[in-house]
Parts: sequence; structure tokens; C-alpha cells
Amino acid sequence: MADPLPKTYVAGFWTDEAAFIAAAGSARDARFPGLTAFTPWPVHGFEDVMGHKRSYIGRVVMVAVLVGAAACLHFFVQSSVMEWPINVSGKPYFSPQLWLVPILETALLAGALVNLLACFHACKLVPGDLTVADPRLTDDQFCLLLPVDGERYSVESLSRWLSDHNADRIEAKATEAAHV
Amino acid sequence: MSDSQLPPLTAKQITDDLTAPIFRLPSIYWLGGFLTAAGISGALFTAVAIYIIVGYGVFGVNNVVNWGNDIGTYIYWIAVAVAGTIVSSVLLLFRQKWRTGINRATESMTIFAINIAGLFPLIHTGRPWVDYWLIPMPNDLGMWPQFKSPIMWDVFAITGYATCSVVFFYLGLMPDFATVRDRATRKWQKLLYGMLAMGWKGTSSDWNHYERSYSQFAWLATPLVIGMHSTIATLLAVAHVPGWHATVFPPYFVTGAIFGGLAMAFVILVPMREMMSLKRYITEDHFERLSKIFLACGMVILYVYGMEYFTAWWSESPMEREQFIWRMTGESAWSFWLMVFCNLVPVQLLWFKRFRRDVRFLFLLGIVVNVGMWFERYNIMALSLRHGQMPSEWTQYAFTTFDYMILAGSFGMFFTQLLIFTRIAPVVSIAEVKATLLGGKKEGASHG
Repeated sequence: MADPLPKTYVAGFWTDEAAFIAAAGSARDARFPGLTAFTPWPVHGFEDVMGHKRSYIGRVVMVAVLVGAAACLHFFVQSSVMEWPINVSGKPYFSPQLWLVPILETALLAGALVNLLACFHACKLVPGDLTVADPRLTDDQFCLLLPVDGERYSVESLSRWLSDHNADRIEAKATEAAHV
Repeated sequence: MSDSQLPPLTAKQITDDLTAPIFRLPSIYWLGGFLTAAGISGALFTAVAIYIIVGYGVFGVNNVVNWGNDIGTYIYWIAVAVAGTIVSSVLLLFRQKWRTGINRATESMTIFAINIAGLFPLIHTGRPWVDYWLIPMPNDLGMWPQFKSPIMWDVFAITGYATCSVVFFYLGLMPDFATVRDRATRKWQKLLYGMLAMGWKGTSSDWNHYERSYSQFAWLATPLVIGMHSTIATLLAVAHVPGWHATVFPPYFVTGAIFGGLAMAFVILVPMREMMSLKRYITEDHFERLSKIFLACGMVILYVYGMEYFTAWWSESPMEREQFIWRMTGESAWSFWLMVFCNLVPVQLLWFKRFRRDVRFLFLLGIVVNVGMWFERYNIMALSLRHGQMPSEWTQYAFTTFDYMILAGSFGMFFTQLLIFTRIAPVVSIAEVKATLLGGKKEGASHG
């Protein structure tokens, strides 16, 4: 399921991308615990601003492609060489060069399907999850969400910090087991 | 008011413009188009129903021309699908940001064309109720399919490509489904688009993974699409049929597919742009760039047509020479010359910028080239088989009413699906267009 929201948090909203990116960079430098950023479209280079590591999906897909190819080759050997060999025009039973195309296609298909599932897993996407954070987060608003945590990260101090970083709108919320 | 006089686009306006068709009632033009296309697609289903009852003899194929309309039309629709993937994946890999205005529409073209293409081999088998024998699973004969056969390569290629295309298409749509979900006011729309968006939130971490996944799809789809159409070409090239037996076939087919598919892209993009008020998203710049790729493919087609004839002459094979002379001068020469005219002549006007930016001309050019590309497949399939190695086997081939019905019905089915799509999903990628137009800029950048 989606990540649960902290019980109390302060959210700052921006419409200007540059101001938001500057604020997000400052927030990361300030080491706010549980900092989350929302953007309505993919912002080029923003993963570096937020310090995200390169996604693991590429490696998972590479493994899936190799496993798909190996599984297909194994299946062809099992079906056409070991258990049900049929002589067709004198071609050898073990003909890997003639299987190259379906092996390639199967490998790529395996990669594609695993890619989708890996994306669902990485983004915590679940069929039937109907929750909506703020409708404008998929429209024209950028958001930084800062959890309230003790004296140092109080609602007042976080709101002041967001205001200092030119947030257009600031909202403080208290939730019980809410989800973004 | 011209585009340059309009106020700059904002994120909110982009969302409003691109989601508007989903929330408003369909126009009378849409309804008319939908009913017409759906009616025509009925011809396909009627013909298939009668064929299942009566048998394969309802079509015009015979012992000699055993690959006729159904396989030719199958290759035509595969080609239409290929261009969508090329625009979407290859241009993404080359970091061509302008693709964002048109990639969604061309991807939809891929999905709808590939499912129609997939129908034709299933029709062609003659006994469609045992088509499941093509699937690699033990069947009631206790045998596996022959995996060394290029026909089986095709089964793998088409199913793999179709599945990959659908998954790629859906992944691209997911953030936009979330945008529609967040703007929906009716309960059923919130539910439907909420289910489709799967709880997409758009955190920076989500986008990091999503973009990686999306680019991985482009890397996977590109060899898949080139491999698929090369496979179909190889399937013909390995046969000892004059007119097929040429090593140039794989690149010929792939380039021809891009050429024919881009022609179909013109046919769908121009009316879509006009009727859905998308002139600020699908601009004349997009058409000009597409036209340049189209012209380049057209020149390759010109080269390949010439090379086919040169190879036939150079081979000193009397059968090859006879085949190509007969195509130009035989009783079906009209179809050859129609192909040559449609595919090679009007496209030369694209050397001039004025024509590359004239969307009405491009729409008409798209129709003409589509006619030419269908006849290209007709020439390759039917005419090659009609005039094979043995004069004793030279025969006639004529369409029956049922051939016309499945051909027309396939177009009806394509446009029916396309029209439904324009009502249920954004036809331009909202998130990608915003990233292209507004990313790294102040709000309110201009398009171009």
C-alpha cells in the first residue's frame, strides 16, 4: 500500500518550478526527517536534488531478460530435443540458431513484464488504491511535505521555514493512519 | 487569433485542454464517425462468421495464391503498428523532446493496429477454432509447435510485441489517469480512473523509478519491433518464390513499415488536431519533423524498389526476371504502377518546406501512401505467388465479397477503437507535455 502520512505534517505548495526546486534543495540540506516531494510532471535532474539513488529497475530488467532467454532455451531443448524430437527436413534437433528469434522475443517480453511489475513495486502502486493526496498535485502544484517531529520540527517552525522559501500556500494537517 | 498571439500555456491550461474531451459530451461529428466506423467493422465480423460456418473457400485464395488478402492486410496493419513504436521508443532513445506532442496518439495507433493485425493470421489458418495449437503448450495431438519454423517465430514476435506495446502504453498513461482521476466529478469516473491510476501520487521517488522504467521499455521495444518486422520479412525471404527471395527484405520491410505507419499517423493526427482543438500541442513543427523522417523513409523505399529490379536483373535468374517484368507489364500491372505512383511520386513534394507544414496536404498524402503501401503488400504477396517458378502454376487471383468485407472491416475496427480512445484517455501525454513545455522554465512558456 501507499506510504502512510505522518500523523502531523506541514505541506508547502508552489506553482513555480524553479522556486520549488530551490526550496527542495534547501530542505534536503536542512536534513528534515521524512521529507517528501511531489511534482505534477517529471522534473529533469530533480532526483539529484533530492538525493535519490539511480533506480534499481534497470538491473531487475536485465536479470529478467537473461532469465527469459535461458528459460526459453531450456523449454526448446526440453520439448524439441529431449522429450518430443521430430525430424523436420533433416534439421538437427538441437538448433539454437533457428531458435534465436523466439528466444530474443521471449527474453524481451520477460523484460517488459518484469519492468512493469518492478515499477509497480518501486512506486508502491496497488490495484484498487483510490487515495488522492491533493488534486492539484497532478495538475499544476509542487509540494514539499515535512513531518512534525518534536520541538525542533514543530508546526510553527516548519511553517516559517516554508514561508521563508516562498511557498505559495502552506497547510498543516493532523491525520490518523491517513495515506497520501 | 494565431498561435503566436495567444497567451502562453500554463500547467493548468494544459490539464484543462487535454482532459476536456473526456468530460464533455461527444460531438455530432464524433458520433457520426463512430457509428460509421463501427458499422464498417461489422463487415469484418460478419465475413468471419460466415467463413467459420462455410469454410475458407469464401475468400479468393486458391492452391497457388494461398497467401492473399489476409496475409497482405496482416502485414499492412503490422506496419502501421511499427511506426507508433518507432515514434514513441526510438525518438525517446534519441532524446527528441518534440515527440511528446504526438507519441500518445501514435502509441494508440500501435495498439489498435496490432490487435487487428493479429486477427488475420488467425483467420488465415482456415480452422480458427484450433488456433490455440499455435500456442506452445501440449495439445490434443501430443505435439509441440515446430519452433524451428519461421511461422512460429512470427507467433512469438506478434504476441511478444503486442503484449509489450500494451504494457508500454499503459505505463505511459498512468500519471495521466491520475490527473483525470483528480479532476473527475462523477463517481464512476473517479472509480474508473482511480483504478487505472493505481494510487499514483507523483513523489520524486516515484518519478525517479517511473522514468527509469519508461526508458527501459523504449530499450526493449526498439529491438522487439525491428525484430518482429524483420522476422516477417525473413519468413518471405527464405522462401524460394520469385519476388520474395531477396536479402534486402528485412530492412525493406522495417523502413516500409515506418513509411506506411507515418502515413497513417498523418491520417489520424490531422483530424484529431483539428477536431479536438490541439493546435497548440500538435503543431506544424511536429508535422515538419515527421515529414522529414517520412521523406527519408520514402527515399529508402525508392532505393529498395530499384534494388529489387536491379537484383532480379543481376541474378540472371530467368524466373526472377520474368516475375518483375510481368509485374510491370502483366494483367495486374495497374496495381504495380498504382503502388509506384502512390509511394514514390507525391512524397517528393516534401522536399519543399511549404508542403511539409501544410497539414491538409499531409493528410491527403497519408491517404495516398496508405493506398500505395497496401498495394505494395498485395504486389509482394499475391502477384509473386500468381507468377511463380512454373508457368503451369500461373493463375488468377481475385477478391471475393468476403475479402473486401474483411479488408474494409479492419479499417472500421481501427477507427472505432481510435474514436473510443479519444473519449476515454488524453490523446496527448499531459505529464510529458508539461515537462517539455514548462520544465526548467518559468510558468507560461510558449510552444514550439
